[in-house]
Amino acid sequence: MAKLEIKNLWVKVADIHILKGVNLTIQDHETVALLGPNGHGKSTLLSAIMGHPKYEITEGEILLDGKNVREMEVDERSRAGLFLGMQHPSEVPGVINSDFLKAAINVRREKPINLVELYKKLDDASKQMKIPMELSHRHLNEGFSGGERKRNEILQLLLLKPSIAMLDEIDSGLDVDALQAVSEAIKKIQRETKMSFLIISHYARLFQMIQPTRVVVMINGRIAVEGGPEVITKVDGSGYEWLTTEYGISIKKEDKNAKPISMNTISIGACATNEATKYAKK
Amino acid sequence: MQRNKLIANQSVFHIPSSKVRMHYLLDLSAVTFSPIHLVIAPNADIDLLIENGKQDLKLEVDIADYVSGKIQFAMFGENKNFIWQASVGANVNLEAAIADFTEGKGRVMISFEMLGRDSQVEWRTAALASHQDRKFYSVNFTHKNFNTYANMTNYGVTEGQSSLQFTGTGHILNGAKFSKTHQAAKIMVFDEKCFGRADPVLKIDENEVEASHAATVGRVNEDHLYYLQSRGLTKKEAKRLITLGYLQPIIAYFTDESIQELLSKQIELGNQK
Repeated sequence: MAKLEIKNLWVKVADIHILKGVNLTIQDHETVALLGPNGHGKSTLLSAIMGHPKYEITEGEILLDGKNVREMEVDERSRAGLFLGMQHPSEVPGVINSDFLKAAINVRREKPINLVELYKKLDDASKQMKIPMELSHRHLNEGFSGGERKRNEILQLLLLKPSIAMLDEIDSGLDVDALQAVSEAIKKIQRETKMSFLIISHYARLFQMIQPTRVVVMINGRIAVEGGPEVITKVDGSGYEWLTTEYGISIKKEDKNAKPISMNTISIGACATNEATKYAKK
Repeated sequence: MQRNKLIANQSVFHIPSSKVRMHYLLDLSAVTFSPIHLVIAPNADIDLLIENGKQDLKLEVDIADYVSGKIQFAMFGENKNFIWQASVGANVNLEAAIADFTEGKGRVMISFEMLGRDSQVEWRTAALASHQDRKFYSVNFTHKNFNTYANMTNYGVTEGQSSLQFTGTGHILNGAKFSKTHQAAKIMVFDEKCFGRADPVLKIDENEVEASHAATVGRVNEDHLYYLQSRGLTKKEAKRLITLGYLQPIIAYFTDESIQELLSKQIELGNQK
């Protein structure tokens, strides 16, 4: 059982607000697709929920089963049941993948896992993700291909069994086989557990396979539209322009000379965090 | 591993020539004199373990032509100073490693004088300084002849209120054409009150040589910590894993399983304190 509530969340990076009052509730066993043009704060929302130190929450609440997530350290959030499959997982040189996985499993148990059991879990998860077991003896993400890193993220999801899984463009850079393995893994979890998902993707392909129960669109640091799977079809077919015609929500191209980013102007095609950081440096 | 224990003959330790690799132990704990002399005969193929450098010691080493193999230093740095001064003959090929995960204050001075031509030495250091430790390492290669090669890699972690310093010197003298001297030093600084410093020095008095150095002293990468923490590892546990990753690779250069285990334990212990 898990419920994630985000109430009027304002988040800034380098003095520029990227999230401007996000409201979103995710119930048990839901799969929510998070859509929106680039640079409108989707990744920022996920990172802020996970507790990345770069993102400063200035207002609002994040509650997991009623507990105040803002007061928790990053590792406490993880142990409380949050998981973020990252868009760019860090390479951590020197740290052996399997040592790291063992440590991550052990913080969730009273007694440390024994080697036989660990091996079996790793072997099962590796097979499911169709990645060679040898990967677990290498340094964490170091020298992994883009696809291997993303699969390794899902492998961790399988091992750690969070209650809310947030996936940030988990399907970017994946070939057809890898995409298949990732969506199969998600579908299996959907069938067998009550885990909820909050998923960012730019491709209808992944969503066709895992069938979200709800779709939300983030524009300008707020949730602009909520709907069902039909929203995905619409976005996939004709982009986000219909938001302007149907809802009067303006999606303007960024004016390169405008600085700092005006809160009502939106850039398309640039990560919001990068943009904010860039302006802060000027 | 079964090792032949070296016994001093009038304050000199001898290692004879050999056709196959021989395993030796030089246990310094019982040695009462200094400087100690170690003479390695031509063509000796050695796997030499030197341990227990607990008192102030100076070791003068004569490495003859065509000596090859490995030298391993374990359990050093405990409160005392250690000097290793080696002169190297021609066509020598050695790999040496020191692992220092013990508590203490001390200076370790390593020097190789590359006298003969076509010789090469690889040197590796892994040192952990924690608590109030004060550790200073100086590794020095002097190239005096044609086509000599030296490469050193010094890795360290400093935590608590300790300090750790590496000085690496590569000196290519006039006449040592075609010599190569390389060095890399990396120190990870874990806590607010500890101190790390790496000084690379290159002195080049000859043309047609190769030399390089790289030195980094830095804090733990915040993104790495975040990634590990986002999977539930506490900051402490995340740091522990990162330290292990820094220091553990040296263990592979030790051939005795018992020493390998001991070194692993020492890293863990240093970490927990």
